[in-house]
This record gives sequence, C-alpha cells and structure tokens, in this order.
Amino acid sequence: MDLIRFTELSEKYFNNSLNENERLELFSAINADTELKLQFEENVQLFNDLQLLKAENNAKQWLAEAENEKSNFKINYLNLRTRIIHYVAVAAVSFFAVVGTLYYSGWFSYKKNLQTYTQLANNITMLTNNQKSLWDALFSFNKSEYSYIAGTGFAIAPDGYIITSYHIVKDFDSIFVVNCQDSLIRYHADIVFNNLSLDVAILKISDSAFSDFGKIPYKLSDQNIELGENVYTLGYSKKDVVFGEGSVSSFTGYNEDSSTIQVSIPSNPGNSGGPLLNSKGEIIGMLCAKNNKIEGATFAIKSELLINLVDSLNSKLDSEQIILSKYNSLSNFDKPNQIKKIKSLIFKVEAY
Amino acid sequence: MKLSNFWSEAELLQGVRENNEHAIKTIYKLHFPMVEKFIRQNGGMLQDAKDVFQDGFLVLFRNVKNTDFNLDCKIKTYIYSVCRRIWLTELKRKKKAPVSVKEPDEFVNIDESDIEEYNEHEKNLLHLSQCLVLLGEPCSSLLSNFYLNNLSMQEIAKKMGYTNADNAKTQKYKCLLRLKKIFFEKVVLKKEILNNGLN
Repeated sequence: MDLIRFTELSEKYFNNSLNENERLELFSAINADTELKLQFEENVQLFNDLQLLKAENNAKQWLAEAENEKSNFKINYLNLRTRIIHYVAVAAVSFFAVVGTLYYSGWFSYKKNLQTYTQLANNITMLTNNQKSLWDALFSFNKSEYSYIAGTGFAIAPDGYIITSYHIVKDFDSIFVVNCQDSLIRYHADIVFNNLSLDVAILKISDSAFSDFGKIPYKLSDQNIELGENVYTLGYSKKDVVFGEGSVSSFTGYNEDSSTIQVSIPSNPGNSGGPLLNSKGEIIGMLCAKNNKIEGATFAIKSELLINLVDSLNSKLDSEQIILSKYNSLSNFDKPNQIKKIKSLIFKVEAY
Repeated sequence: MKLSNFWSEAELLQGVRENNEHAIKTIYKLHFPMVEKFIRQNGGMLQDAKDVFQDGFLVLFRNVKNTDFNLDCKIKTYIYSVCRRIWLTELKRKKKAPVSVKEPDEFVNIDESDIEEYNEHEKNLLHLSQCLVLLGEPCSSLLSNFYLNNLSMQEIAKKMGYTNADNAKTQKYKCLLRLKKIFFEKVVLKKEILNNGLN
C-alpha cells in the first residue's frame, strides 16, 4: 500500500468513515508491519492535533467577537433564569401592591368587621331545631319543619301601618303582629313596602278582626338629634315587652354610616324594629343593629329617613295614604306614663 | 444578534464540548467581568485579563472534551480559579507577586500540573501551526483551508487552480506526509534540546 492511500485510510479511520473492506485493508497492513503501525499512530495524533487546533482557533475567535458584542450584551441578553427571576419579582410587586392597596383601603377590615355587625332579630331557628330534634325523638313520624323569627315593630298610622326592620320579615311569607299588654291580640299583616338598603319594612294589618289603632300619641321627630340626649326603647327581646334606656352616643352609625345613629342602649336579639324615643316621647329612630365588638353600641335609623320613606311611599300610593301623626301628646308625661300610653302600639313581629 | 439561551450549567458545558459558538460567547459574557476584576485588582491591565481569560477558558475547553473530566463546581468558579492560578504564576514569574491577593470571588484549588499540562499542549499546537507555515505554498494554504477553515475539496480545487477535486485530494495527502515529517521531527528535536538543556 502506498503512503498516500495509507494516509487517506488513516484519515477515514479518524473520521469514523471506514467501510468494511477499507477497515480490513488498513488493519491487515498495520498488523503486518510495526513501522506502519507507528506511522498510523502518528497520523491519528496529527489529525487529532489539527482538529484541536481548529477548535481552539475558532474558540479564540469567538472570544474576541464576544468582547466586541459585550457592549450590546446587557440589553440583549437575559437568560431564562434571569427572566424568571424578573417575572417573579414583577409578580411579587404586583401582588403586594394589590394586597397593600386593599389593606390600606380597609377592604380586609371591612370584611372582618362585617362579622361584628349583628342584626337584632331574635333568631329562634336553632332553638326550634333543638326542640324539633327532641320532638322528632318522641314523634318520629312528624317531619314538618318550620322556624320563625321575631322582632319588634311600632304603629305609625291609625289604619294599621306598622314599621319594622326588613331583615326580620324578608325571608318569610307569614307575618303576625302580637301585643298582649291590655288583652292578647294577634293580627296577620302584609308587607306593603320595603327598603333593603335602609333595612326598613312597612307592614299593614290585613286582619278582619282589626279596626284601627285610634289616635297615635307620638310622632316621628323631624328635629335635630342632640348628642347625649336621653333615649329609651321598648322591645320584645323576650315574650314580654322590655324597656331599655341610654343616650345618643354618636351622630353616625356603623363605619360612619350617616343614615343611622349610635345609642348606648344594651340591646338583644328581638330589639330590631323597636322605636327609639326621647324624653319628650318623640320617636327619633328605629333600632336596627348592634356592634358585637363594642359594648352597648346599638344602631338606629334616623326618624327623618323614616319620614322620607313614608313620603315616597305616599307618592306611589293612590288611595289609603299613610297619615303620620303630626302631634306629640306625650311631652307632658313622665317616662312610666309615656310607656303606659304607647305600649299597646308596640308589637312583637313574628315571621314564619 | 439574538443569542440562544443556555438554561443550565450542564447545557452550557455540553455546548462548549460541541464547539458551539453561542455557548462559548455566553461563557465569555457571563464570566469575563469577574476575571477582569480580579486581574485589575491584582496589578493587571485589560489586555492581561483578556489573555488570561482566553487561557483559562481553553483549559476548561480542553478538559470538557476529555470524558474523564468531571466539573465538581460551577463553571464560573472553575474559570475564575484557573485564571487566578495562571495570573498568580505569571506574577511570580515577573517576581512582583503582591503581598496580599485580593479575592473578589470564591475559588477552588487548581493543580499546577493542570496548568503545566495545558501549557505543554498549547506549545504543541503552536508548533503545529508553525509547521503549517513552514511547509510553504501550496501545502500551507491547502491544509489550512481544509483542516482549519472548513473548506470542501471542491472549493479548494477551484480556489487554488487544481483541475479537479481528486487532484487536490492527492496533493493534500502528499502535503500531509510532509507535514507529519516535520511535525514529529521537530518534536523529537525539541525534546532532545530540552533534555540536553536540563542535563
């Protein structure tokens, strides 16, 4: 084999492109001649060195090019990991911005405080359920289930209009007003008007046994409310009427709500819808809710809003307008006598 | 130019192993500033940093092609450590080693033998490229174009005026035989000189 052919085969061997015949040719020659074997090893080393030289030359060239590109590098080059870090940072900043904004704007405290705000309806559902389970244990065939809710309401017009809290009646269809001061009376009533945002409902007694209340001795006050004014309420937080008194402690209600005032009357479930009277016997508001977290913080809707509501209702009604009492005939009486006069006009509102 | 992204050290190393242009440029761009900082803090100039980085990179470059080689630290740390060793040796050679070496980064210990091995290897390649020049024309151009510049035999035949690629190929092998002769002769000669010098 001549040396040129031998070199060619060596190169093919180095490039791994020998076919079977060439392989045989090459290795038979090498194995036959030790001098040729040495030549072969030198050839392979030379090819190896040439390849390395090429690779390193390229590498050096690229390093030099990279040096020139470096000025653009910081703008162009961000590998994925860096990008991920950037994205995570952006996401984190946005998250904290949103959460921070919500926090500082009071969103979370609003959510939390919502739980401290309790409407004062006397919710008997749990009690009823407990009784029912007892009942069921005794008479398991009785599957009927009902619950009811009770609150307070007071008459505002002689022909059977009673005002109360909407949350007492809103989930029920059967409403009764009960009063057992002089004699037990129990009338069926219908909702004629409601306002969810103010939590007010106006009921009308729709019972054939009912004729009329007679003269309403109190009036809804349109005077300014004074801070520190003594006020009292009557309510059905239990079966019998309960008196409670305190004073006006703030012109605004829960979360500075200007439609309500805050009074320092201890209140209980069942007081909802009860009238708030001042010492002259004028109604300055209607109890609606309390703050669980603050002792004796009860909220009442201002009477001027109740007057506005009745006015707007009258503008919609064609006949049977609600005639509010214009005069207060209680101002000359002391508190026990005022109560004596009005207690028959204050009802327990039961909703089934 | 958009640079392709190498998402992990392993992929970057694989890129270097395969002579990938982007991988090599990426390594330079990621790690040169650190080496430059070290060199500048320890009495060198920008040009020194470039030279040292090139040498340091080539140590890695040669090592990753070796299947036995296992990189047990980050590429960054390895290149920094090698460059540090090369520069300290250089300073020692110039006899102006600073009293305290400022270390801007963590490093691993690099054997002197690694560097020496690399220097030997570089000398060998330098010798090879010198031999290529010594061959004279047309062999020098022919071999350089084929082995270093990636031209095909057809292109070379056309460029250098051979009638066809086969002629050029025969000529190439003749040139290779000559190259081999002077390359290995010189190596033997050099070693003898070296040995004589030591004795």
